[in-house]
Amino acid sequence: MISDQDRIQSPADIILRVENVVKAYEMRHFSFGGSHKTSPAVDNVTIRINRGEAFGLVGGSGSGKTTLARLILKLERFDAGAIHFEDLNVGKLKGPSLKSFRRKIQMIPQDPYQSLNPYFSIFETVAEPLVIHRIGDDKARRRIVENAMVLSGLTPAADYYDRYPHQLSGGQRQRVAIARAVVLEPQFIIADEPTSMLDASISIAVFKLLHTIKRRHNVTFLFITHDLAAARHFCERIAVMHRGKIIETGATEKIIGNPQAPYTKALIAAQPRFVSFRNIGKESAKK
Amino acid sequence: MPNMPLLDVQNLTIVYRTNAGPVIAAEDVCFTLERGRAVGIVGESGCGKTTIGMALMGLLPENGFVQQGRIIIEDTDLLSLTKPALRALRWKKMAMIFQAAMNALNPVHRVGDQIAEAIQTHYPDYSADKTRKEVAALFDLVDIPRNRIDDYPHQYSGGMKQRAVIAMALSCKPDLIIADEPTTALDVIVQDQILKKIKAFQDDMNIATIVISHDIGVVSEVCDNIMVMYKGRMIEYGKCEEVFMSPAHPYTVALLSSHLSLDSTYDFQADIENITEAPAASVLPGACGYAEKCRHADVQCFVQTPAWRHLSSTHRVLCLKVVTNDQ
Amino acid sequence: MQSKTETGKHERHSYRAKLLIDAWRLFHDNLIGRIGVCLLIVFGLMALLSYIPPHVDPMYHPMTGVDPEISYASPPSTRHWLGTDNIGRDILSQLLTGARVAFLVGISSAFISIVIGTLIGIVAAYWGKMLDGLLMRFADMVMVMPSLLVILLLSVLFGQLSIWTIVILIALFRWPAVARVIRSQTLSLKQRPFIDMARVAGASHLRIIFRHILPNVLPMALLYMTFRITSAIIVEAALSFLGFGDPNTVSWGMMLQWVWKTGHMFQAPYWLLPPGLCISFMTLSFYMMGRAMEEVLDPRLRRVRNAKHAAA
Ligand SMILES: Nc1ncnc2c1ncn2[C@@H]1O[C@H](COP(=O)(O)OP(=O)(O)O)[C@@H](O)[C@H]1O
Ligand SMILES: Nc1ncnc2c1ncn2[C@@H]1O[C@H](COP(=O)(O)OP(=O)(O)O)[C@@H](O)[C@H]1O
Ligand code: SF4
Ligand SMILES: [Mg+2]
Ligand SMILES: [Mg+2]
Repeated sequence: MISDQDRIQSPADIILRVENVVKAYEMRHFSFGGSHKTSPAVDNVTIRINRGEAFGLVGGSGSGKTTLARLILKLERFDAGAIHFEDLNVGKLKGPSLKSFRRKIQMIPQDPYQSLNPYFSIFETVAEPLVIHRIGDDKARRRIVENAMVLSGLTPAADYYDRYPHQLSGGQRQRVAIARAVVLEPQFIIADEPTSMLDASISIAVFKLLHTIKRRHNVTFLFITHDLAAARHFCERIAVMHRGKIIETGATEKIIGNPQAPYTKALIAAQPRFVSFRNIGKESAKK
Repeated sequence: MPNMPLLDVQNLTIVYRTNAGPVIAAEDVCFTLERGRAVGIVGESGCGKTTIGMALMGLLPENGFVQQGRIIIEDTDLLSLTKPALRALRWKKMAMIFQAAMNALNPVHRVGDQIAEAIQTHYPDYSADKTRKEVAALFDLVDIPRNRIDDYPHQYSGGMKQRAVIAMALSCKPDLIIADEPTTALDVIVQDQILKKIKAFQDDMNIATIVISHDIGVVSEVCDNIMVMYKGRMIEYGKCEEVFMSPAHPYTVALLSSHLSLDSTYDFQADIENITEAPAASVLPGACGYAEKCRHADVQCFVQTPAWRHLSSTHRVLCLKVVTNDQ
Repeated sequence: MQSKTETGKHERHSYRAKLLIDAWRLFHDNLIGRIGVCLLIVFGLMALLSYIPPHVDPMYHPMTGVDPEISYASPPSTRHWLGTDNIGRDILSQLLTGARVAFLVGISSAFISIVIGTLIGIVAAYWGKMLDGLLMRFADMVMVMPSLLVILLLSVLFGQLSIWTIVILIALFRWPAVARVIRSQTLSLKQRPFIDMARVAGASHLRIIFRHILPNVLPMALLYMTFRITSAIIVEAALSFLGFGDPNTVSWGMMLQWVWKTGHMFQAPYWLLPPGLCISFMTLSFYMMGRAMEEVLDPRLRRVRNAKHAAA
């Protein structure tokens, strides 16, 4: 086994290369019947993500993070540039190669209230990717689904099978979304602000879960967030995005300790800070 | 009395009638608030924060009612008022920034007109001209450029919409503002600006503020006092520094340690207290509401309801295990 | 309000069941809906009872049964509760059979138009672009066609049309409105993240359409079905009245035509009124039910109601 350090050094182990990608949305004019392109939502973005790392994409709302994620997932076409996932050229994927790409890369969505089909039971939701990719028979699927759900903290899994999304809390729904994302054992997971709709206290549990998945299964993460503090706790490297452009990339501690771009500085200044109570807090957990 | 509190809430208990029987959404809530001060209410969703805010506004839904307690603003007992009297006070005495209000702006009306309408509802004798001036002044106050008055909500960014909603709450110059999750769904920089704005009103206009949030970081930015809630009950109340520096209730400790910040370290591998989602109410009778989740719970906690313990003249906690020095 | 907490313990129904229960609650509150349902139950009973009279006595057969002692239009009597037509056939049994035919025509043609409209609406919205434009222009063309006139022309050309041909023709003219509504629903569904999640999982187009979009638009399609039923009944009645109905069935429109053709329009109100009233009330009841369902389904209408509640 090669150590993590070696793997990251080797250039062959870049799992995702986004090169000079541009995407502008078309705006329709209902009155004129024509259309024109707006200023790009993703503007000449280049990032490289190493296998096994957690890469943070940080930026305010509207900065183009979700758009970039959708481009990588081939949910949207880009106007220029290239995206390579391993040796696959994402822009050109079709048919069987697209399907095998879909097995390798998954997403954890932002809004747990909108991202599950209300008509699917939890079992159907988590098992759907297996059905789509024709993996296993009924019995094997049951086992795989159970494993994924247990991993995602939905235990006992059987208790959830027949439930429907409307019967779960936000945190539980997000766990279902995570179980669905890991059920195919993907190599790469894009988490698009997975906790922004959850209570602070629940989002920490989700973080822990993502952390476990990353560690145990050596999954590469593209972790999208507007919260620098969250990125700091989860990611080895981060890129700061602003108005469609990547304005700063580097090791997390370096960017937070020594930000260069003015926007990054503002982002850091805006973080709520209160006296470091944690240690004191732990002690006063009396007895 | 010089230091007479603006708001005095005593033993407030609010119940919802539901098909499944009555649900106690808030129980035995007590706090006071002076002008120019801010209190923060924190707790996970469903713990009853919005319910308290709505009760203070006299806007509880049809099936909700105050079972017990007093709400006194200045010298007026809100609960003894008739509906018209309450309506006369609302927005002028106390105003609320509703949860997700920025998404409730009417998409087909100009933002300025919506604020003007709010003003004219309460000051019907204002001329159109005067109302317009008021609106412009409010826009200045919340830092929205005046040339955006005639824009529609969809032309605003999230932060601007939230500012517009704040302007609306300020339109009748209330003494008390209740901000329910004012920065949820906004990104960090905008959140910071909004919180600074709220803080500024509190200081400059001597407005008392109640900030409701599930995020303890938000509350820490603006508040003097903090109330931590769990399953409809206050479980800790104290000055901001006291609660942050020496949290006493195990739930507060868990809440604080789950807050990720730029200078803290968080050990994902460590098996620290997991805050799981708790349904509201359903507290075992004669037990501590947190007992099922609490790491420090023992037999006593399951058979005895905790009483308030005072850690200092301003800091109190609802836990059996806290060692106090005044007893 | 979104129930975030673990309500699972109390209600363990599927989403569909929950929708039905919620819908029923709202529907139950709705006076118009309740009246509509009561009327429909009455008509339903009529349709069921229509099987009985011929068994009592062959002379009560709506089509072939002739009272041997009466050969003129007779007013209500103990023998013929609603009277007879000009050749001595029992009006009550005709009326009951008419209810059955109205249900048959209304429901089957509405069903066909819903299937066509839903499929075209989903396909247009899902693939968008050219196909969308094409299908919607086509829908517009069909929509503006004077359907009654076209069906009349067809029956002039091809002679008497059977009831099933009429059903299908009505359906073929009545899908565009459905397609429009379903298309706009699908357009907004397409933006919902769970559709993206299905794509990310690798779902095929067919899977997305049939497993993810269809169940979500079905309630709206059912709503439109009630409106289609109304219009199908009216069109069939009009055709029959004008003499282009199926001569082998007894429909209310057909009864009206007999009244008219035999010149009893002003002589025999007992013959004219029952079918006329039945047509009006049956279409009205489906319409009322549709309106109530619309209110249940459309959150915008519902919110207005709730706001009124809260303000009260
Ligand atoms: N489907 C779309 N059509 C038009 N504009 C869009 C669309 N999706 C996003 N945008 C625009 O692209 C920009 C980036 O959006 P997004 O990627 O969602 O940002 P983020 O995820 O960082 O909040 C925004 O200005 C947004 O308004
Ligand atoms: N109109 C209502 N009817 C019944 N129960 C309600 C109603 N509104 C809120 N509740 C319940 O009261 C509790 C507190 O709700 P809320 O005050 O909205 O919490 P928070 O604002 O802290 O998220 C929750 O359990 C909620 O389900
Ligand atoms: S009273 Fe007992 S169970 Fe409750 S918080 Fe204190 S230690 Fe925990
Ligand atoms: Mg986004
Ligand atoms: Mg709330």
